[in-house]
Amino acid sequence: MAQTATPPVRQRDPNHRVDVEPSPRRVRVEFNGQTIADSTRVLLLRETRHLPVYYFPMDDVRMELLTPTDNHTTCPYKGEASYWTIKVGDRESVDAVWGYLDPPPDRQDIKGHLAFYWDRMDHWYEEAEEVFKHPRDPYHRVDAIQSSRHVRIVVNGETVADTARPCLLFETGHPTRYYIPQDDVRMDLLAPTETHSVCPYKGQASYWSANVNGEAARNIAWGYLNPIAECPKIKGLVSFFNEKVDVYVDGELQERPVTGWSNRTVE
Amino acid sequence: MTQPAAIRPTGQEPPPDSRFEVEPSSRWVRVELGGAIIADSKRVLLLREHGQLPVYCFPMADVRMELLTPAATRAPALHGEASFWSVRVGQRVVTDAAWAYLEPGTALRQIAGHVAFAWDLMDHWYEEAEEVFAHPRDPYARVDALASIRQVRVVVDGITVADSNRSYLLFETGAPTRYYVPPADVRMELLTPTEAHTRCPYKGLASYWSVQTGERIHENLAWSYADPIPECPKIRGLIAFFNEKVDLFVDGELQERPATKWRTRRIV
Repeated sequence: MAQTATPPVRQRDPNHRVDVEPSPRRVRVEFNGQTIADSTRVLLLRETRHLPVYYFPMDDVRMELLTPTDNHTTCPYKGEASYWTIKVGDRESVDAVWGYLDPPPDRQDIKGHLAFYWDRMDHWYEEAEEVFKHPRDPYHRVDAIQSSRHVRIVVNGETVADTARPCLLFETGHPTRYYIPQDDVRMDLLAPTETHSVCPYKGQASYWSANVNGEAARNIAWGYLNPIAECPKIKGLVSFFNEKVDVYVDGELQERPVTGWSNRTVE
Repeated sequence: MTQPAAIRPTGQEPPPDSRFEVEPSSRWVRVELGGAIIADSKRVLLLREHGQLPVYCFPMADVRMELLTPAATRAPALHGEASFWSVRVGQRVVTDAAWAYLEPGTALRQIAGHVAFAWDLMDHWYEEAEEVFAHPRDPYARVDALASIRQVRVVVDGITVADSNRSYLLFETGAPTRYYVPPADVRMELLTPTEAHTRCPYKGLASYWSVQTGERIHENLAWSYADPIPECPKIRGLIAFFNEKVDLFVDGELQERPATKWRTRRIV
């Protein structure tokens, strides 16, 4: 994704990857009631530590709704990014669109293509279906598999879940998540919160806080009450941040994974 | 629709630029033969070789090695020479069913001491408590079925056999887009079900149809998942055609036939 400030030109990191491939999906972007981009020949750019981004050929973008701005940022892999403000009717979004007009020789494929900040747009569609949050990465998989392993979750010294019928969710690049039927969770120790998050592979998540032995752990558990059709098995189950609780699998305490959530709380 | 899983070193010299990756899998994997669990591990390695199906490799300590008998078979492979075992359970003997790279090259030192099994020679495979079919699921492969309003027309020998603006497009990593059309939009009177079936771990059990156009019969030209796995619900009962072998028009535009092995091969 484009940077928000203009840093000095950074050196390339040999472990940093940028892969661009044509996507066969028809992708459309809607802003203030207008389809502002509609293409059957988008490029999907996948970059280390970033979510995938769709790039549209300018021919497939309503360029008359875009105004170039003075904003420029530099990326060692993609070159200098130019920005546009989009205005449709009475609504505008400043610097919501970016593109590389003159990318480096090894990145000519994205030349003349434009990208949009996903969350500043109103709706995104792949074919006739709305997609939420970010493009689905064709190299990213989510498998929810019924297990007979014994899983026990301990929060602040108290067992809050104990099950022999968890559903294990294996998601590429993520630690295994243990989804537990509510009947096997001390739901009396959990209180639902107003927090929600969205994942294009699973759907909309709801959260619970735990209150155990006088100590509160905000949004320590989540669940998908109504997952997308492709992820039916975790419906209504509860999962805990393995980063923050003690997880015993078949009696063995698991190492806490180190992720972006280790020191962060969902808000 | 998936190719048969003859996941064994073939004895052909791999191309020198073959790419591969090995990573630990956090799945509990078990292999069953003749009613016995012959491998049972929570620390398998997944070997992914470019252009091949992924393979689970088990630490020998998690394999019932007393049921394995070394065979004379050897096969050169990317990872050094593969040595084979036969597996015996009771009266049942499966020749060359297991293999290992006893002295793998340095790039693959990780898989030393690990044993792999020919998927289709075993009776059952399990990930956690669920049976898995055809081959391990690749954590870097994805299947997305999306409703589409594109106009999809399938033409065989000049005859339109399907015409729909409510198909589902199936995007599978590394495979051409497949167009699944509701039977109501297919000239079903030209289709005859066959006995052929294939398995795909991402979609389920596929059934096939032959297509008759005048005098010509195109055997197993179309397929369908009458009862797909729960994770792939949208294509249930819809019909897809081998784009390799038909004229496919999308929004009026003739598509290039994808160059896959199905261009020349048939489902049998």
